Amino acid sequence: MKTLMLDVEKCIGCRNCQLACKDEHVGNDWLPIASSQSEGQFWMWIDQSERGKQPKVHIDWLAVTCQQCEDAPCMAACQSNAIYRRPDGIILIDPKKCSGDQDCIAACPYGVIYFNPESNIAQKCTLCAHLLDRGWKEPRCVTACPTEALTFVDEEQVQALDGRKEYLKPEENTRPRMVYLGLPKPFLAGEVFSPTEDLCLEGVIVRATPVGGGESLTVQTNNYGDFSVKGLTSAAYNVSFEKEGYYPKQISSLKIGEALNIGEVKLYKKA
Amino acid sequence: MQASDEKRFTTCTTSGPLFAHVKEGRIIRVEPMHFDADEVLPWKVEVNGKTYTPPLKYPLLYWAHTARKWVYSENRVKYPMKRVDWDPNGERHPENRGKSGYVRISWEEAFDLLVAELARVRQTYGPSAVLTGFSAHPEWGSMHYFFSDHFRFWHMLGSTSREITPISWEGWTAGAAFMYGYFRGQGILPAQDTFQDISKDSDLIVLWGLDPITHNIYNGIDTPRAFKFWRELGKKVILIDPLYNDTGTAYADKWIPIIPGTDAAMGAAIAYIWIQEGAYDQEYLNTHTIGFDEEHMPEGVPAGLSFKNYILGLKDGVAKTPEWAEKITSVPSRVIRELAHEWASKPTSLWAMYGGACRRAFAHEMARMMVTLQAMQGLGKPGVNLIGGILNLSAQYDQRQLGPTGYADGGINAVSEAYYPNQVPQVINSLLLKDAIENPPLKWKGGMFMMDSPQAFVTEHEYPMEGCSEVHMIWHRGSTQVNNPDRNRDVAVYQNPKIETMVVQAPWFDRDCRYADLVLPTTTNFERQDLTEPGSVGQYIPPAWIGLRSAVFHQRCIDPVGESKTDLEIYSELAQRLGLGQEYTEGNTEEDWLKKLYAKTNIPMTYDEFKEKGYYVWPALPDYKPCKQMEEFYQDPENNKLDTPSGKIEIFSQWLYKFYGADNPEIPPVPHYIPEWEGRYTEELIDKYPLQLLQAHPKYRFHGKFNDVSWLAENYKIKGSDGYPYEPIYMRPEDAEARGLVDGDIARVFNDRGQVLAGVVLTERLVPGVAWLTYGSWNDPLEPEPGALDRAGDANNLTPARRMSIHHAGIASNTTLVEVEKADLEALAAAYPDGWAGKYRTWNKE
Repeated sequence: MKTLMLDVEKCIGCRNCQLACKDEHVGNDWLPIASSQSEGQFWMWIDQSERGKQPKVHIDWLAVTCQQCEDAPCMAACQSNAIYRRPDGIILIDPKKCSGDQDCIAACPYGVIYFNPESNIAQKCTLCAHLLDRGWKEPRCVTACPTEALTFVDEEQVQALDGRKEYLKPEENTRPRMVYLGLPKPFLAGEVFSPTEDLCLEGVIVRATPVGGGESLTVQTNNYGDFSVKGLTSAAYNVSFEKEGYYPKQISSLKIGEALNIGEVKLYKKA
Repeated sequence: MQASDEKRFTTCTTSGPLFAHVKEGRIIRVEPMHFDADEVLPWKVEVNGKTYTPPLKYPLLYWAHTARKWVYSENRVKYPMKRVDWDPNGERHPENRGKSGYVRISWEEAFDLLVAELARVRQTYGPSAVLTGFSAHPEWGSMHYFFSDHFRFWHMLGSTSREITPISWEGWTAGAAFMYGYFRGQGILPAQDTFQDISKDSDLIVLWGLDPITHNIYNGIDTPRAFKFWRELGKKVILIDPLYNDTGTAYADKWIPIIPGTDAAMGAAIAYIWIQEGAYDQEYLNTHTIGFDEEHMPEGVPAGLSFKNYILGLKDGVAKTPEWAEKITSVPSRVIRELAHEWASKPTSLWAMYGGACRRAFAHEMARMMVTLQAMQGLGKPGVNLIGGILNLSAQYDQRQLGPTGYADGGINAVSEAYYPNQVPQVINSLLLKDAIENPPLKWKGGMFMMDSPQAFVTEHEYPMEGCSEVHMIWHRGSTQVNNPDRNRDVAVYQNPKIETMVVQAPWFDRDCRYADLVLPTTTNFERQDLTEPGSVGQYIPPAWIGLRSAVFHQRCIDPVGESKTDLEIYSELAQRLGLGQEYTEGNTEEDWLKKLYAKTNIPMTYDEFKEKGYYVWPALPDYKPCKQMEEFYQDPENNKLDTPSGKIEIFSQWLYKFYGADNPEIPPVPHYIPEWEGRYTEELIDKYPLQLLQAHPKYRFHGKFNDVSWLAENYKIKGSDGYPYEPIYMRPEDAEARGLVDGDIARVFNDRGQVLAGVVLTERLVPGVAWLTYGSWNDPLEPEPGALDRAGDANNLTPARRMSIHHAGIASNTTLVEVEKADLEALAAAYPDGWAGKYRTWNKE
């Protein structure tokens, strides 16, 4: 049983996976696995988002496709028994059996099933099962990836990841099989300097403590005075800045959201 | 792995080499070319226990995956076409170019018309009355390339040449070459072995105005693996750019936003800090350069003209301090200072060649400042190098292994018996085309395609040249000649009555085709045979490739679409009909030419074996000896002199001093920061047009190509309330808000030169006061006349055709100010019913 795995940090947002998917499936029928994908639909889609404020901006590229769920709501919702799981774990929608009722589309929490108005059926990623059946080692999206961000991995490789592996929308309880590494997390960034010396302050201890208590997160500024606190789990933090020889500073109740650039933080040199 | 009814072919495209799968005569799939591990013997680079080997597949650039869309595009020119109201024996209606539609004609009729027109124009005015040009980035090839088929034909016949300047690296041509020579590559340093040098010895990588991972055209997306490797080795990456570009978001440790056009000021401040703190290599400067300080000036030069004097303000009273630079660049002085410290403390790889910062006013100053900074740190030392955004990073490239090299080596001209220099000496600098046609006579200096000597910059040209005619016929190989600034000037030329005939041969009907009287269909690379080495453009720019080095046979994957022919076929047939068939082809068929090109290689396969298999991958030879750019010069400057008057790096350029004197405000002998003539500090314009227009390359187009590919367009075009796919203009939230604009609004972007519509996208990735709108969208003017509102949003309606400086007649597209306001789509639709319905759009053949 193989599955797709996306290492988010490695993705550069080229969309080659998305384009290669279209090349394989739009205008090409691969019956009985799938019929042609409709224009304007995305069995593989790179979702782009931007967080933070200049210059601490983070661009997230997230490859979203069928998650090949163990408890697939689409299978449960389909009333014409058109959705089936192969022995290799790949879930397919039989283009001949699909009635076009679209119950699966409503049931899928990932929004990755599309209704094809030309053929009046529901469609989604097939993991290029027609190619795997011919002996290809991986689906087209994986071959097209220039950075090895998207890979096609064995179950054993997934198990070996232990705590690193993540899943999209685990709260939906569909037991998705596509694995993600390094999903976007909130961050708190800024830049510390000494205005009287016009100096970037390196080695400032930045401590973020959840408002209302909890474990603090600590980072140090780099040679540009830049810092970025990751692994944030609370909605708001009190943040302190300390460096020997400088008056410390505290900023209270910073609401993080998806990302927060608090901009310039001034520390004054002790007299 | 192939289904029995599918066949796999090989070819190479502008986005890299690939396999095309064909079923029943149609392409059904395109995938990166890849090899089995036992087929190849790759090179390796080992650093600190980590090993880099090139991947077994060539990662393609985006557009290759959409080949089916553009090969079978409804916008292909499928048949020869004639403009309906162009009658060579009666009224020609030049004023209707861009307005009237086209009818299909046969090839026989087309050739008859072409031969008759060529004969008439040549007899009436002489060969110089034909102006020829070419699209600078056509389909990939060697035999099928303008250096090959086009140059041979038009040089044999003689024609006036429409001269584009290198464009991709203007400032380096006009600036850097005067410092270290390398005029053959027009100021670009050799790429060979730079990958090893960075991997082993650079600790800091400074990207200055470059986005190499997405704009490494020709080499596919091959640099991300390199950046990942370097990051794993602990190298730090800093991006200095008005735009937080894709390379920056993926790999930079820090983004330093900078106001466009002020790069030389930041460079000057870095030099100031180094001088103040002695953090530079004085010994190297003493032995390898001239002009840094007063002690190392050429003889006979007045005192006070050294670089150090400029930086310290001894000459102009302005010390180039980081505080001075902060006011100009918006980069905090403390950040400039810290960057200077880090740069001086680590062997640094400066990525600055090519890039938008070299396509603007006085861009030679930016380029010369960059060379000076690296000279201060000992350019050529291990880990101290200058890299560019494209064709500029290379690993092992063994000169003993002879490949088909690249397109710039002349294709068939390199293997023909006779070589024809152009019979006509007359040229027109592309920026001056409108002035030449409308207001001759005209004189100017420089501005040639090959700026391969210092003298090329001061050579005076005259139009019409003595013994030559004015231009009466235009012939373009490829549509969208290049992406010239101020497109409305070109449209005016195409509609000028002096132009009696205009011919364009192109695969797609777009842009310039719309103004032609005759349009000839040409093939894409999937429809013809050729022979190339991926990522190599020949001796023009030295080879650059960090993948497995290979040669690719372009197999003919499919039959030509419609009645399209190769440019070589068209020129061969025309030559035949003009009685010059033997001179042009020397009796060679296409296959004969290919065999002759192949015979120049030492690939250990027969031609037939190579053609059948489609590729050859060179094994890495174990006794390879790397030698990176400037290494020999660094080690022994006396015996490895550069091609400059002193043989050294000329921070003070003797050539420039001789040409322009000691105090020319546009090009002094040592690099200066010079405020742009249309920039942030241009007082007479900035209130009227307060936004600087950034023209970073389009991500999902190759310049103007593939604009119509829906799979690409759906990733960036902004759908208006009218359903039209508008070109995006990226703006900062506060800049948009100040104009009452929100994300998704359709806006009018304008200045005194032109106006376009574009869809607003809000982003934090830009410097305040800068809007990013790029070029290459296929024009959709609402009226046929020049200056009409372009619904498609091509930024070259707004850019200036002004030469970048007195020194160089090259483009300065990024030196553009605009204003943006909300557009009233309903009012526009009512005011321009024909235009809104698409009558004048440049892909409309009706």
